[in-house]
Amino acid sequence: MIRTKRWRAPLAGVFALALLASACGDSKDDSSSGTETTEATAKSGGEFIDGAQLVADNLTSYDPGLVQTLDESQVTTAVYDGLTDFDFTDKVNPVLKGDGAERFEPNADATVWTFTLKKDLEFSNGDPVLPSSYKFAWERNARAGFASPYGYLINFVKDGASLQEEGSTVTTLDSIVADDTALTLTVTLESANADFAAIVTHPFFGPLPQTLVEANLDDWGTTAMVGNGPFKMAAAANETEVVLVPNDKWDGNVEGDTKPKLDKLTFKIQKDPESAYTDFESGNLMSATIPSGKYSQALADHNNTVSSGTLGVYYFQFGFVNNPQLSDEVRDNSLLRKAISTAIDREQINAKVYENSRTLPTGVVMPGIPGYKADLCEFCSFDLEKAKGLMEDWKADGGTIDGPITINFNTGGGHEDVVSIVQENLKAIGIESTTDPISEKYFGTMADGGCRFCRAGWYADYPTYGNFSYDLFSTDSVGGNNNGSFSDPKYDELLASAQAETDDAKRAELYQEAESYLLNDKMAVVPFNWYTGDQVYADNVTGYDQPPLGLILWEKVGLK
Amino acid sequence: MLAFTVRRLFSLLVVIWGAVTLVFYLYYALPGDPAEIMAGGNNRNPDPAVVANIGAKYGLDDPIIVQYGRYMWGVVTWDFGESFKDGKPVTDIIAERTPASLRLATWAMALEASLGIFLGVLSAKRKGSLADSATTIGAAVVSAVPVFVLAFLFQQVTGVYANTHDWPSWARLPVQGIGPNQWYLFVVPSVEQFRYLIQPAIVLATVSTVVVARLQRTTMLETQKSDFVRTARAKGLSEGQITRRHTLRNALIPVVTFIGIDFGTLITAAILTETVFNWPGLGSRLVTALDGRDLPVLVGLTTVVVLIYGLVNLAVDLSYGWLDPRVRQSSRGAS
Repeated sequence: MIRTKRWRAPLAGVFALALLASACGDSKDDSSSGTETTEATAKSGGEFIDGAQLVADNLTSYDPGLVQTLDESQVTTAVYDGLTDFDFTDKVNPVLKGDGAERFEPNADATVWTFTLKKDLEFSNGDPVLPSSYKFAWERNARAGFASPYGYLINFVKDGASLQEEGSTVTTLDSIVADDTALTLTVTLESANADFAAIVTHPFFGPLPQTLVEANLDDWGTTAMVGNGPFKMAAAANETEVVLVPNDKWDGNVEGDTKPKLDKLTFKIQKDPESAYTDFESGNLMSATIPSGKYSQALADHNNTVSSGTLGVYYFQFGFVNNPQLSDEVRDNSLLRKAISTAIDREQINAKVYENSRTLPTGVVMPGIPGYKADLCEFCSFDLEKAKGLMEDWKADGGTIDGPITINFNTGGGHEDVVSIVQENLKAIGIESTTDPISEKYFGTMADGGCRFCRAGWYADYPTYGNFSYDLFSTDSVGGNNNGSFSDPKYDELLASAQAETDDAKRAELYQEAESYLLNDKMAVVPFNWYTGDQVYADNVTGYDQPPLGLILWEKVGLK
Repeated sequence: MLAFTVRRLFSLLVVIWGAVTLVFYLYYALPGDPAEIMAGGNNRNPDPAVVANIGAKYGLDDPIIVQYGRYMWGVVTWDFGESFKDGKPVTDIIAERTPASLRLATWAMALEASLGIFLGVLSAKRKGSLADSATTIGAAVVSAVPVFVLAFLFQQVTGVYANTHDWPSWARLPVQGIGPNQWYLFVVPSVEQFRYLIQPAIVLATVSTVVVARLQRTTMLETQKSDFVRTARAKGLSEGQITRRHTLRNALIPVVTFIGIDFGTLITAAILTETVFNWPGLGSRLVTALDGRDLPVLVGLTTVVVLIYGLVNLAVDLSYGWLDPRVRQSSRGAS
């Protein structure tokens, strides 16, 4: 047996050598500290390695005309600046300011907007940013053949829908007039909209370098795109990362920053959120998204953005068609709906399901939306006695429940736990309920009249009151994102006046009145919570925060 | 040998065609409308014009047979189309991802084969002893632990624990990712690269190591009883010579077959390993494509996986000629 033992020594030797080799090979850590400067006081320079923004399963294209999720938008908005942007220095009272535009003015009835561009703005390759850069971009993004998921945004512009029609070969709009000499972009709208200047903050409405993009009309997103934002792409995105470097031709943002602090910004594409968080805790990534179940630990151990509110709301809507139990089709059931809303224990849901990471709502629309007013809703806090009282009033008025009510929700999103608490809450005021979990085409089914008491969530596309009030509850949105098919002429009228009102303060009041009617008169929707930030970042990182719209201002991020 | 190889390559084409057809069928059997899902239908009710435009852009409205014909023609002309999700050419995705998968699978196979065979021979030589039971039980325990649990344990120890307890840098290993992606001669990693490679390779290898070990042990024990081994021993050859030149060579045939077939297991187990270790291989990209209803990427990557699997099995079959001179691929023999 002596001879067979002989091969163990060499084998052990090989392993020992391998270990030694790996030890000698690496003395430089994979940038756990990230600073390449040795001076502790330096607040500029260095490479930020991000592990929070890009998740492989979510990613679509970085092309501003095609971005769909917040993930790739982080890269796109670092590379492109638009006509306007919100200054979120005061997070509760954001101010819309000109970014690429020097001035932006509506006409008297908010049907025509004129944007006057700043002089001498350039893309990172030196091409000028002109009104025609915007006109070209909007028309290119809105083409039917391009099939942008946000193509419907062009419907705000007069005749925009003609570009979006299936099979349409229309490629230009006369309602967009670009005068490169006077540096003005004049846009005629399909209908009055005082918020249009806020809507164009969306990447869909950013500028594009016409000559370069024309050479690559549909595949622009796969190249190292040239933009006018604080950063530029060092190379085209690949399967593992996106690398950005500062754009020295950038003209600054609306909050007063004029130069990025970092030398290099690397977004590492993540596949598994748990692994990403582990990688962050091992010191290899400088940011990560907090996986569910880890909030308490993350809050205790790491710098985080959980206290920053974002523009998202989790809510349930009452179905207003095919729903005699809860709607007003047969009799006025608003007291019943108010009772239900008051019976929902939002604190318990936040504690049990969200580890207390969300914010309790006082209405549909949250701080960060211009025009937000606190404590709008009278029936949005948990109060069992009040709920029982409302139920009594409703019954005294002749209301009767003839069977369990149905709670609809989509599977796969972790909503089962929320729904089971809702069922308990309803039982406490004497209402039996059954669940209707739907795995396929949930939102389409709801919009087609399937909603009884249905779950939804909405994250703002751009920070306007109308993105919630109109997109979710107007008659025009029935069949779209108005899951409960709520339709009320008084509500629509209030919205229409708001959208045509060019005075910001008056417009805010009209939107508030509409929401108050929606909640306190009709009780058509039950807000459950407002979303908050969900990321952690390393100790040596400065300026890292998730603003309300969720798009991080990378020019503010620096390393100690 | 040549005729055999050509015949096998031809049948491989038939297999690839079958796999592509199956993927097509499965894609349309999946719940949901692809155009609607691509328009964002999991989060909101998409605008009907947007859904219609997406359907038109990617030809999803055409009858399935037309789309299928279009894709088969593409596969034949090596045009795998572009990803529905990000517009990237599928051939670029294949070019970036295949080497990563091959390198990981090769190393996992090498580890699994060498460790498995070593343990199997050891157990056979020491049949019934403590070493025999200990090694096979130990390997079984490690193989039984699910891949992602093992991966998680590795990451916690060599990553998080090492960081919070300030281990020296040589004892720490990266938690995930492919790192610098530096290789020599295609499969030999640079020293820094090795640190990224070693954990996923070990985790992936554990899936089948115990099976290789047990199989090797069984075949060794059986071969040891053969007449030619008794003859060799009677003629006075040393035990070592007998093991190496006679027993092992013959015992390896079933084991090598298994390792070749197991390559398929590696590719599928690699999906989990690649996901947890964020190794940019074919497996994790396939899952992303499935989730996003990305048909061109699904078809393209499946084709590549089937091709690799087929070629590996062909190589295994051709290796018999070297391992056992009696088995020559004659015009009759096609196994």
